[in-house]
Amino acid sequence: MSKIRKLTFLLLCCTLLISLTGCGNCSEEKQWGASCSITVDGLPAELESLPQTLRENLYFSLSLSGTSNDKHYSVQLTERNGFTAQLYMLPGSYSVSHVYVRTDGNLPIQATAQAESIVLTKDTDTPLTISISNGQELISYIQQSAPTEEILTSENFSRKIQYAGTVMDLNALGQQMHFSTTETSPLRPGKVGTLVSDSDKSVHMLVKNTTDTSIPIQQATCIGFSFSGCNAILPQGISVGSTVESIAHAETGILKTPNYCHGSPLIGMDIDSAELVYIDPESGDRITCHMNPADDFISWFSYEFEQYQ
Amino acid sequence: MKEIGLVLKVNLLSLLALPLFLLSLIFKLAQKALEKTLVFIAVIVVILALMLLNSIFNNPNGFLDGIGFVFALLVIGGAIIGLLFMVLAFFGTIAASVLTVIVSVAMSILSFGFECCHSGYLYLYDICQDDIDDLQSSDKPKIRFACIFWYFVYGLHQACVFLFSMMFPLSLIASLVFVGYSLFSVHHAIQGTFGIGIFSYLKLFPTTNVVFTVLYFVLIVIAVVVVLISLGSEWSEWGQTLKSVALGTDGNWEEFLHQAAPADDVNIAFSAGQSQQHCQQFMEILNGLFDNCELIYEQVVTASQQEEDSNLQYSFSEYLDTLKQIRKKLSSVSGVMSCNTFEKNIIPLIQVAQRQEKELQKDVLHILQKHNNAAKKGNSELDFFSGCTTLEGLQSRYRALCKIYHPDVGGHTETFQMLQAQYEQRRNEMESDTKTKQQFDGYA
Repeated sequence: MSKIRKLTFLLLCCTLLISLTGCGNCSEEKQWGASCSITVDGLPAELESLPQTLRENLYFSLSLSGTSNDKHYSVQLTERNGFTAQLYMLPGSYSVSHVYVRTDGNLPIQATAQAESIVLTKDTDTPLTISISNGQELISYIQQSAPTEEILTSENFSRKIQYAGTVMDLNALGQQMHFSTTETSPLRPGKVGTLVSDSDKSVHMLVKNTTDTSIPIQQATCIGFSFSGCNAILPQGISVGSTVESIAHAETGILKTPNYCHGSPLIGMDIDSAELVYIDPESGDRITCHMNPADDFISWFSYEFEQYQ
Repeated sequence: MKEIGLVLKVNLLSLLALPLFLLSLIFKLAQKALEKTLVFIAVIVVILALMLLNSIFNNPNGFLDGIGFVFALLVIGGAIIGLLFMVLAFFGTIAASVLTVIVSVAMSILSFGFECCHSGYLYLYDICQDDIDDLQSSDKPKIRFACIFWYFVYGLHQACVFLFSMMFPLSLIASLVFVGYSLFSVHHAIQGTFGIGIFSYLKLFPTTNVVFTVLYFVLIVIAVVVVLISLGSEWSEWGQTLKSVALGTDGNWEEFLHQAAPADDVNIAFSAGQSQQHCQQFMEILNGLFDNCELIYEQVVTASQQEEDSNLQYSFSEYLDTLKQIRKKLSSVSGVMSCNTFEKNIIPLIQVAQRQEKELQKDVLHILQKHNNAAKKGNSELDFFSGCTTLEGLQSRYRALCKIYHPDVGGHTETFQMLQAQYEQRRNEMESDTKTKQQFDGYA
């Protein structure tokens, strides 16, 4: 063997030895024994009655930035980790960031960290609690999101909806809620626009310009409503968070196989959103269930009338 | 004492060879992982491009609106936007170049590391094998079993050879399983969620989206299959190299050739009996095989000059090994051999060598025909005598190629004529060169 090869072999052996022995304790944080236990406090037991998909997609995020060092730690609390986490950090003082809550189904959750800053000392576990500041509001919202017997036994295309615990007629929803928009540009002929409910941002009115000229969006004809909150429930229990299988399975689904679909057939693969469209053969009314690119459950649904009465 | 020294030497060298072999495995694995990662990155880029194309197909107005917006920006922003694009292009080019350099450097380091470790390992393995052979032929052949580290390395080597040689068929099976499983899992997922078949499900969606979805799927499946098969082929190629090492040829055929084939015909007398004639017939076949050995070598060298085919090289090593085994068994017999022993120990090996010879000639012909056809397409001719520098070499190559191209042995007339023409031309050139040289020497 040439000298270069011998030298390379020697170098390789040394590298192997160093990598085997030199990197034994890579975690510099753990050796100090300073940790922070973060928990979410005050999550109501009623949360269990929500669809599993909504519970799985509930995240509390928090970050801790060192004021005595340049370290930055972040943590995500979910149902999977039981809404608790233990972070090993370098001893020192840290400022606690604003708690970010990510929910599907428009769940009204407000959470705050109980301390603005924490000090971690060696071999000590420091607790940090995230508390739900609107527990009662959340409980009442969840209770109103439970389907009633009346809605569960209604016909799919009966134009009924359970909203905030009350079963109502979709025809009358336009009068019962006030809708407005900040859109100032006129709606072109044949185009569809949306107006947002003043009392609940998750309820939208779908309007269409049925005239031949551009008109202000407020003067367009109501053609239906869309809902992105889990407090709105269609007949037989279809709501935000319902799985595709529970709705679209040919045998066991509530609405069975869709008439047609929009978007990508790769549902939940984070490529494109998908929509399942059902048309009532008698009235011509249309139910559209929308799924976000990464989800395989309904993120919003709409009910469009063939003829608005 | 000499034997003990050899045992110690073999054990020590085996201990050194082991980490080299493991390191060469690690380098090879890292090299392949990097190569295949690049394939998957390319697939991801293509899928992203397809996704963009899909969104343009789905919303052409939005795209045109977007183009219009960009155009408006260009008009308004003018030089600033242009400058921004230039800066982006500049940094994009730098990033691409840096990435290329990083990948090339990483590949070179891994390749160099592999070459060093692998050649070091082969070098040590060869020494150990020679020493083990010496121990076997010594007064105390059983002492070789004291080389425990050698037998460990040898076992590992054989296990790797077996595993690697199975890689290609395994990769084919894995590819088939992957394709089958992918189709099954897609069908199962759709059946589970929608309760309908794949085709009924796809019919629900717009045609454009279905086409793009099928494209994504096909692209990913093809990429995985290509990666699996190429990995299988590359590993099995390495397995062939390791196999050649185990046979002891390792490409050094000329030396091995002399060990395998005797210079003169082998003459062994058989004890009288019913099978004597039968044995005599096989003895003639064997002498024919020994005579042909050098011609086969020439044929293999000719084919190898056109294409480095590890399968062919390994087959030739195997063929030489069979001849070597026959020769070794014959050399242990002095004088008369019983027909029974010959039939039991030698004839099966002769039959194997016969089959191997036929296979080799078929492979050589296949490679040469492939390159001849390719040369014809480019309006040129395959050079059958490349690398021949002496008249003897030229004649030897001609004789070897006649064995496969002559019309009497089922060769192709047109190619044989081409071979003859090339031979005549090259011989004339060489002879005239020799004459000129002789004349020059005379004048001098």
